[in-house]
Amino acid sequence: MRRSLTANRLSSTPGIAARLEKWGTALESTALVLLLGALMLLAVGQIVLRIFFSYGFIWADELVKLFVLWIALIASIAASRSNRHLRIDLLSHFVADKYARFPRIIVEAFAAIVCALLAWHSWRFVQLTIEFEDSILVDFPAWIAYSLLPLSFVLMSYRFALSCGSEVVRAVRPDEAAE
Amino acid sequence: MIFSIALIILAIFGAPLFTIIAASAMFGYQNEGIDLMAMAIEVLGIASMPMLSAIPLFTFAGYLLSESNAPHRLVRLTSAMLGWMPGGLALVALAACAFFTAFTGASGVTIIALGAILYPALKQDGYPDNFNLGLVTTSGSLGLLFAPSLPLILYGVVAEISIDDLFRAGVLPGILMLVLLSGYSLWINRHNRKPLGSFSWGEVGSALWEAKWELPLPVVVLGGIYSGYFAVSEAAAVTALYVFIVEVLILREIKIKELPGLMRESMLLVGGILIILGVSLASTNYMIDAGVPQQILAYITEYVSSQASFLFLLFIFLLILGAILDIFSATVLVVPLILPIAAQYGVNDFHLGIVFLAAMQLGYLTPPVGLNLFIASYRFNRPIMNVYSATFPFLIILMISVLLIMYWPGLSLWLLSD
Amino acid sequence: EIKISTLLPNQSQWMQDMRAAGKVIEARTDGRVKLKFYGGGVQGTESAVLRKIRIGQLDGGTFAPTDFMKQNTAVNIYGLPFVFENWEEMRYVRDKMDPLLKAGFDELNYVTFGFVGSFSIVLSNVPISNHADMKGKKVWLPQGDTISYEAMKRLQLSPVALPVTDVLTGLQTGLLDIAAIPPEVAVALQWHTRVKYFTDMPVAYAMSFLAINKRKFDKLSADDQGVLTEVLTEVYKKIDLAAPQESENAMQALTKIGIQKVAPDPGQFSELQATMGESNKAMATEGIFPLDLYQQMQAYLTEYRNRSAAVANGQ
Ligand code: NA
Ligand code: NA
Repeated sequence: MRRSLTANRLSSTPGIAARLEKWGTALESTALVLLLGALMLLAVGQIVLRIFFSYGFIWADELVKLFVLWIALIASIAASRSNRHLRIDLLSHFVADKYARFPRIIVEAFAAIVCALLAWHSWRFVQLTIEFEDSILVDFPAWIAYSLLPLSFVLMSYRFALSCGSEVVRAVRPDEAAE
Repeated sequence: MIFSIALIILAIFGAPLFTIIAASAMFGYQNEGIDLMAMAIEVLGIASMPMLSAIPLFTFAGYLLSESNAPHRLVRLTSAMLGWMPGGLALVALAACAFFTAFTGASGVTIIALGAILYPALKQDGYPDNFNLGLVTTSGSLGLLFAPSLPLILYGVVAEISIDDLFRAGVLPGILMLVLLSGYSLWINRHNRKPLGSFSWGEVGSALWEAKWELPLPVVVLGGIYSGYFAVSEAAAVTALYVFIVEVLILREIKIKELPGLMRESMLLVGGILIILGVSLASTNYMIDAGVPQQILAYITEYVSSQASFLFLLFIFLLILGAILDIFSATVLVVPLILPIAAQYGVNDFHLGIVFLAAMQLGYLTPPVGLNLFIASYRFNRPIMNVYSATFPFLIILMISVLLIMYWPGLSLWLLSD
Repeated sequence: EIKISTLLPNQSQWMQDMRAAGKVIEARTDGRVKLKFYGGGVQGTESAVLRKIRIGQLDGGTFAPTDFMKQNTAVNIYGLPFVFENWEEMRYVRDKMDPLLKAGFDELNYVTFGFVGSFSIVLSNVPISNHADMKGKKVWLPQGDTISYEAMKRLQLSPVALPVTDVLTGLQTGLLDIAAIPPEVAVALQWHTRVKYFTDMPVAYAMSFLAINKRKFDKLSADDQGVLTEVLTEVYKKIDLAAPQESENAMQALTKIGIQKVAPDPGQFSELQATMGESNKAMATEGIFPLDLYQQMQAYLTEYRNRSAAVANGQ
């Protein structure tokens, strides 16, 4: 609960940041809707083709797996925006909010750094994929499909950094945060 | 060592689990001199796991079901069929929740969707308040062993065993849990003998008629598989499409414009699970590279010789694991490590799967981290300590059933085809 | 230390042979070369293993020719359906052509130590003794397998494209009627428990091999390279020579559990071969594999058949 409040507070600041939030959310949701729909249609289409036309689409499975990978990545960007990543988070259940603030700053900073590292190394991996001209499906360049990996970690890193920043702001100016 | 302790502290402070796992994997790779691009390779590895598409599709279907009026229809139908018995409403609650959880993925939505209907009904019917709270809280994860629940599928994906067979293996142990909880409920309410209503064929008929769209779902899905129309891996897409057509297009209980939000909401859970799965592949890969399972095995075999004592050790371990981790994270993290060890003690893969999931089901109810406890406390506006104590007797019953499932492998293996 | 990954289970004969070979190599190189094996697919699929080799996490693995098909179309030349009628033909052609394939891997920067393979046969729920029996039946098509797909189109069969993990249940429920696979693999995957018949006719040659990345190999001294090559080549030769017997044993195991053996109609193989010959040539022209290599293979085959016909006539 608490963290989404802070995220909302940031997003309610008018201006570019807010617009970015809005468009970002819309983009994620659209992508998720399209991918989930495509996933359903692909599998059901395959069944229909098979039963009525004795036809099989040999790349269906690979395509399905690619869609699931993309869903996983986009959904985890969305999960960090809505603060829905799975956490153990014992602290917030047993310690009063004001004592939990400092640990929270550390935790968000840590998450931002880890995601940044993941982004950097997956970007290096994507470069290697370009270099070796890997392809998936029939002849689709693999790096295009895999670029979502570094991109999603960059966005998650940005998201955690933002929430770290808002914790700092709340720690420095508690009265303003209370509003 | 210092690094591990730091990570544990960060986890307790509430760092997202996937960052903890990723950090430990990166640290491990670094020490082994393996290029950290390996992280990317492992995360991309989720795309080659069989049956993976079932996870987003079943989750979506579950969210659609819980947002529609299907929970009401389900409760009405079970009341019509079981409500005439003394203590019948408690049985209604158990049966309806088990069915609903199987189809909605054991993510706690059962408590929100069904608990809200059942809790006041139980109270009105004169059941003791603590009992009601405990029952509804417990029911939130009941049915986890029944197909096609999300934890079962995830376990099959991670352990790379036949999901079809895992579904069969879960049937009898799931029924055992239901029977034991029903017995307890009837015993507690033995003095409250007032039936909910008399049995009426008319009411059963009209409840059946009202649920005419949802009832064929298991038939369509299981029937479609067993008559060869589609593969197990396609069942999830069929389910999702069927539920979508029924709830959105035919019954129109979910507006088209609510749909994107609902899809996003359901995918948040999926994203949370799959990103942990991805980075866990990396940490598992590192641990296998470093020979961790062999070390654990060597250590355990030194003290534990029989399968029975190994299973008991496993039970304790899973209780601790379930106390601090949610079922999805625990599955992807721990299953790859315990599989080879359990195999050394001659534990059947499917039996192990059912024992694991049954024990992790306890985790929904054990402090400090228990999803059902949190959701019930939030939903019914009760202090968390109150929910803990109300749920405790049910936890004991479930523990007994886990032990039975553990030491009676036949229960899990009897329905397997070979 | 050379890290090698395989999908084969830890208890498999291959693993035992390789572990033994590893010990020999370690002893003969005074511990300078150690082989470390990851069995049971713990390092992921072949494509993941190839990536891990690229970043230096692993050094080698067992592969099928299809894993390299995008880089070098020549390597899957033996895998074309209905080319070889028996093990003798296969042996004759392989003795001539294996060095060419080995050179192909050389270009891809991999060292190989020989190939092993087995013929896939037809497993089915209805008796299949000729081409007509297969028509209208649902035939398993491995996901992404272009060559089998082209072959099925040419033979006018109804392909059902499914991942390997769905085949077992598919055969049981009737989603699939027919699957082609080497009998020893069928036994390992338990598919034989879900079918009633098998047809003793070689459909295609399924090959597998061990490949080690040259980057690692080139770091060894010439002597150590020699030892490694010698020992591994010997092991592969042994497994390769035992393959016909292994296949025979597996088919006997099928018969033993009550699966009925169906003999193909006389002349059936030649008929299928003729039909497929055209489609194979068409595929070669489309660039799915090199035409000259295909023609070379056909030439060797003709050579062998003429020779054995001559021998038969002479007697
Ligand atoms: Na718990
Ligand atoms: Na838990």
